[in-house]
Amino acid sequence: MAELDMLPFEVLRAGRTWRGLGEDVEQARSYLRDASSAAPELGPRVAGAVSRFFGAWEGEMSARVRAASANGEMLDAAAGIYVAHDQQSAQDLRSLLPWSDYAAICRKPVTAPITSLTADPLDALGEAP
Amino acid sequence: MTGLEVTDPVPLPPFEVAPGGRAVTSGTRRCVQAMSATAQRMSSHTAPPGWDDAQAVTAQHVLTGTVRDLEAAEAALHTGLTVLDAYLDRTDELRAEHENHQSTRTQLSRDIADFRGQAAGHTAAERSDLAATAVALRGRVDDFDRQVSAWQERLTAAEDRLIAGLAKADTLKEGHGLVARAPDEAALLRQLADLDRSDPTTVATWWASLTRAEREALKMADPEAIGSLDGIAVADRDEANRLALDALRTHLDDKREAGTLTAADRDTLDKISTVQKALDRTDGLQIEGRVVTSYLLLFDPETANGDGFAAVAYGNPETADHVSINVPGLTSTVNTFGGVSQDALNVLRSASAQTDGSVASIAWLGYDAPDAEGILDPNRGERLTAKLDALGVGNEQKAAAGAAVHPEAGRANLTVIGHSYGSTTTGKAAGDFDMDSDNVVLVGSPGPGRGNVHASDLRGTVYVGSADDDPVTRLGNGGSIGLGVDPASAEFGAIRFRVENQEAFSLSGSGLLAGLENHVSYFDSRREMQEEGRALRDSASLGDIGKVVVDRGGEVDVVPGRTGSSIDWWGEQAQDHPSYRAAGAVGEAVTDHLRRRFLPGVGQ
Repeated sequence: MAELDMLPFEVLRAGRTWRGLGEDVEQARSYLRDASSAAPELGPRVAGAVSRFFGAWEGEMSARVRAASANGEMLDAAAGIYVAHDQQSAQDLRSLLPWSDYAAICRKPVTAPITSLTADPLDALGEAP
Repeated sequence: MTGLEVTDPVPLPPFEVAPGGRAVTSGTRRCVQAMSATAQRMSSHTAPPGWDDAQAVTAQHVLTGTVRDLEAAEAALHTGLTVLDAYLDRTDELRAEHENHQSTRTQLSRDIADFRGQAAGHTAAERSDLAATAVALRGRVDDFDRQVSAWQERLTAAEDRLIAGLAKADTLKEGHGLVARAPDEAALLRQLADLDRSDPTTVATWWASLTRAEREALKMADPEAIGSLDGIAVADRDEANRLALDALRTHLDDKREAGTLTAADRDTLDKISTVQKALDRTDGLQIEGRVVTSYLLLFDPETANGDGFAAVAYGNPETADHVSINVPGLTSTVNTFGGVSQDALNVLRSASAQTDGSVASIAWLGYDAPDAEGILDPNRGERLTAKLDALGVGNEQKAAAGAAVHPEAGRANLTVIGHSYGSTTTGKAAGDFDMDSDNVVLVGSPGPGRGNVHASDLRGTVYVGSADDDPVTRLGNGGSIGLGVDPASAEFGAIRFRVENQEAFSLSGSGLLAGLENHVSYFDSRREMQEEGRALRDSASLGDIGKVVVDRGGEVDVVPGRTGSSIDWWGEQAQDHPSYRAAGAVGEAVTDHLRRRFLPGVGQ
């Protein structure tokens, strides 16, 4: 068993999905902010109601952006734990094998150990988005 | 009490809804479109519809819950957009009424002041006449006061509807409730696909049959299709086209940030910038006391071998009393759209100053103007004819397509103004394809198209503006090559109006530049001349073009048609030029040389 086979791709992809969702909603929210800034142009009697309407939805969208970001970070962190655990497990397993089999399971060595997940891990692995 | 008292009309309440309020709906529309795209993209990650019964499972699936919340927000914002759009449409009407009330009040106050002056020193003999005038004035004041009161009530009702409409869609719970009532986008797109798009009247009738929410949904689902579909209401086309333009700009800005912008992308960004500037010309603009709104009728940056198509209207052609369309000429592309859009705005200013009616002026680049290679497309006139009908401003379409959207709109007085090669396109449209306009104006024309040998060959009243020292106007001679006869000739029989030369033309140096300057000065305004340090006057041609646009063509400054041949004119120019004189060149050779220079490839 090679180390790469044990990487939790689904978790990494899910993290990316959440981060992408957060960015998309943030973009949509910026359009809403632009719209809201023009509310006074609609007249003094309605400007307050319009601002409240946009404010309510900006608030909802901000909450989704924060949640998406947090979910993405949580999944990234989980993936990091899996990777670290996987590397340790593989090393432990390898140490138990006869020397003749030791080389066999290293046919797909990891050239750049994944120890930090500050950058996108799928990019580090050359995984297409 | 003398019986001669007349009270002042009530003060007109201020109208504080700015035309810039449309930024609210355009921003909301972009937001809803982005939310919709996000929700659709994420739907593959959510629990499928079959899981709906397993509430406990789906309720715990966070991504499914998040996407459904986004759909709820989208539905609520869509509802908000619909009521905001209705409010802005209503306030556009109220703004126009407010402007009318302002004029009425000004006149009424003036009449009352005059009356009071007369009443102050009246004689007994004048009393009965004055008393009758006082009764009439009091009646006018009462009418005015009632109208203002009704206007105020309509404004308040519109405001109340907006406030109540927004309050029904400002919580997540309400948003979830609105999802089921949102327009069926897929069904609407199927209707669009099945529609006979070749018939603007059918399209207009279908569009008018949709609810406001359905129209909004379609604009966001497929803005390119709605923005370019002939028969769709002008205001809706404008919103859809702006949405498509914004989306394209955002996409290209992202590419620029990623460092992947190509040369073609940069060209497209240049086109977007040019069209945006044309649209922004009306920011805060009022002409003759009327707010001017711009409409993006057409934007396709890729067609015509990359030259692109664009059309911008200043004023709404569906409701205006007078509509003009400027058709530009040789080498026009969307990158150079600033020129024809400035011309169209100048025409609007000139025309509006000469009428009490409303005017819309369109800058139209919807055909593939010849480029340096000058490949002549025989269908250009046909395309112009079709487009005019499609815009709902053609005489027949005004009664059908336009009326479906604006039943109150009457038939407009339509004038098509072709400049340079655009005059040839216009001439062909009016002559070969029965373009149905009231007036045709050909300025700086190299010919109205071969086959159109007399003004009566063109539909509508034909006006011609040709500066004597504009060399392009000397290219038409009715021979075997070229673009037809000289429409400024007496033989052609058009109404020729006066055009001033800027400077004298000659075949060398500054004389050539002067000739080109004459060719591009037909729409010069006082404002432009001042900016460029030239003589402070509106060009005579602009004033007369404005008269034609507002149906006062009988008042243009008519000058006699040309009687000499173009070839002789070129011969005279050659006499003063050492190279041509040395080569023994005669007028015809010079004509051919210049035709190749100005109209390469044409008629070869």
